[in-house]
Amino acid sequence: MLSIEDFITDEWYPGFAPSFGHSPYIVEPFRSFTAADKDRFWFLDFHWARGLTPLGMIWNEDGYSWGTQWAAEQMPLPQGRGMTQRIAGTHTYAAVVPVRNKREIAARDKRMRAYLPSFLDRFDLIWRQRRSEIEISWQSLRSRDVSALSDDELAMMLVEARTYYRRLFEIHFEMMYPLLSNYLGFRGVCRELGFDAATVAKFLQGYETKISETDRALWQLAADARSGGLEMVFATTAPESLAVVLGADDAGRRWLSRLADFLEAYGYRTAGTADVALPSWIEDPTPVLSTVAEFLRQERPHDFDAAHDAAVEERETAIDDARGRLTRREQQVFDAGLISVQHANFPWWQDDHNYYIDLRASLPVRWVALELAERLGTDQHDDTMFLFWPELLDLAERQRGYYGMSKTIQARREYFDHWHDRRGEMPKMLGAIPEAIDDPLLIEIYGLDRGYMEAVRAEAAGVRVTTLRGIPAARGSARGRARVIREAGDLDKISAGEILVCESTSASWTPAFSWIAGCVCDSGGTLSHAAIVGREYGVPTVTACGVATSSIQDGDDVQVDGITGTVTILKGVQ
Amino acid sequence: MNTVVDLAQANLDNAGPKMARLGELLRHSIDVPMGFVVPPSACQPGADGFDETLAAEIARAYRRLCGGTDKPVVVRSSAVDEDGAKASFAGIYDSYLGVLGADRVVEAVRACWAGLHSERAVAYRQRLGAGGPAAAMAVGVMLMVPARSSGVAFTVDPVTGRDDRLIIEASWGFGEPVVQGVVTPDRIEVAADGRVLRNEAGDKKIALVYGKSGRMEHVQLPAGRARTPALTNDEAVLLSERVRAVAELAGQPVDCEWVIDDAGTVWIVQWRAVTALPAAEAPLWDPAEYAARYAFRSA
Repeated sequence: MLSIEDFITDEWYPGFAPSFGHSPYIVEPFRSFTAADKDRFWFLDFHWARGLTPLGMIWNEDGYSWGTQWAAEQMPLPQGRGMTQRIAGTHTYAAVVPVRNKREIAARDKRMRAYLPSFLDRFDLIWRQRRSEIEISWQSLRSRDVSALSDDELAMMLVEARTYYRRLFEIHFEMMYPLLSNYLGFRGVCRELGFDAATVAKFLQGYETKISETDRALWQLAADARSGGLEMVFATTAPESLAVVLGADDAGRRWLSRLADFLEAYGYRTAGTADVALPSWIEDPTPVLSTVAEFLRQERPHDFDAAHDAAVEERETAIDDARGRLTRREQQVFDAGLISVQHANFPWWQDDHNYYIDLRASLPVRWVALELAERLGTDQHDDTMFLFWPELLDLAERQRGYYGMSKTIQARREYFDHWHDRRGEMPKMLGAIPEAIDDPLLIEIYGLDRGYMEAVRAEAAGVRVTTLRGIPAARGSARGRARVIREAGDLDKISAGEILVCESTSASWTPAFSWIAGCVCDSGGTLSHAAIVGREYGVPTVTACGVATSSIQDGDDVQVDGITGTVTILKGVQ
Repeated sequence: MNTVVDLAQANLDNAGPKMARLGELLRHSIDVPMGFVVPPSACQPGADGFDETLAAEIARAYRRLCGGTDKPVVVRSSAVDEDGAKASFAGIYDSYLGVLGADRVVEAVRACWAGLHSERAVAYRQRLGAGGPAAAMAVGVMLMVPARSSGVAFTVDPVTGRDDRLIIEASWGFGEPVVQGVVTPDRIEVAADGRVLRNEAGDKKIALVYGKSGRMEHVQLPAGRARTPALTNDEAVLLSERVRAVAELAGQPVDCEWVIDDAGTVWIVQWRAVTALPAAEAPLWDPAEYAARYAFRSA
């Protein structure tokens, strides 16, 4: 069993001594593990299961550290200063930065009480303003033809792109903390009134978001392919070769132009959160093509309207039932709280904001980095993903030359691959692991509840289970073959009727929910992506199992029960 | 000479507070089992023998109450300073259930009087700073309703102080196991407008019943029975109306012990006023307060 000592090392990506001091931070910078970290609780973050490349590390600096720490001072969070991260190999571990001084907590609590109500009242206006800010900067960056910029302009754009990236994540957490806090407050009141967490989540389901809009458009693409007589082509051609094969005749070309329209509207999006190392759909439409291929294999198209209507009906029924159990005075509190959380709707925002922030924030930096690779004549087109920010900036500003870096980059690629393959053995938690987590935000987002902690501890002690228990996130029951998927890019490995098993899902995984039969995640609470989307699509989902990806093997016959929150391995693959 | 008082005529002077309260209900046509009271003035706690005249009177009253055949009765202490504003004396003085036959009734009355001097009572009074034993005690003798289900009811939630609902705790058989905390009773909540908000079955493993042997006995119930609700929603609503009537009469929140017989009739067998707990302020939506409590744990 690996422990924190195994990751305290000065040896890191080849050719770069971690000098994390180059990036501004607010309270605590991102860095590698040191002995001082032993007494804190660190947990493996599920978002970056591939690991982060050297350039990808700006996520930890800007998004995770700066973003959370900045936002923690706005409301502020009474007892926390956001989060900080450490790196083990290429994998990110996170921890909360606590406020310890009681007087300071009291002062922060006081400020929070003044800030939160008015933020919630004006949420609509605030989010609209932030979206405008994001769109204006986005349009400005997107409108530039990087290949036509001078070297100086390119260098300036690099810095501008990073500033944009950081600002997006300030906004991300600025919105998320108050929304989530209000939701948890409402849920706490609902619990007092006798409703469980799964019921409360229903009160807020069934609202259309930018992400569901994208999925509908994807299905439309599939419908177009069917009516264009292209089903056979999709069924018999590998996704990577589809573009070429389709370009060979009229029907195919007509469809390709529809694809271009789709990509113009929805293609500025990556198959993962905020990772510069990931291409956008526009850059590489293979994920879109393989999704369309999968959709064409379905006997019946996913009926979005029916699923949406079902979600709305379930919501309204749940609310009516709930109110029927309350006294009149209780109804007043409930109604007022419900209006507040519907108006500043956290589950809705959790999905919607991905379109504006998580799925495209990294693209401007990536465009510049790829253009620089082009100009430097690197071996592979995305070699600059394996440079650290200071190196990239120096190259852009011509403070240094590229000569001699290709060997280093090659060594770093190998380092990345090595740690990518080791993801399955990375401990879910490191350092001083408490009996139970006390932070409601952590529990809600990451699913670090008691059950999770117990499951992970039991596994570390050598206990092997065939029944997993987690949070019943979306109801229904399903049985099927399990597919253990580590990253969104591998979603083409799961077929209709199979059970998705993963650390967690994110917005890029959404299309798969129209064909999978069930979803089982290691992490995530009732408001995690898988839970929200599972409910919207009617896919039985269980989250926070802790040991799903380590207990279930690809091909196992599993049963998922989204009402009781149990996952049973009925028959292990031989 | 008539020392013994009919329950319908019971008041504070002639019957002690507990019996007086029941008398009041009777006078307002609320179902209370019939009975009589041995007044405090007749109380002889220290006497060696028993006043024969009084014994005969008690026996006569008992036979009249039974109307022919001897029936089991409940004999209850009603000390003069019980259920006052300062202390309830709950569980300090004795009650006897399933007392059958005039001789046993007389014995039970005597035992109640002796309870004034019990160690328990003396210690309790001392703790209150009330000095020696109470001055006197009335003893009530009431027909025992064959309880199909019984329990307690509060017109104010005893834990939260909310008065927007009536709380009922119910079990099978007689109510003592509920009062004594020997079973996990059903919990029923009835809103002011009569809606049953909750009817949660408890785990009623034990019931106190009047056995065929003519004795009170504790029986163990099978799991199915233990978890079956002891009151239907309709019965709960009926009971809640009765209890609310008592509260209205009292002009204050009340705490009742009740019994339902096989015919479905609701009987109030004891009640007292409860000092209203401070009404919990029902806040409308206060996001910061709830966030502090549930998101940050800083409240």
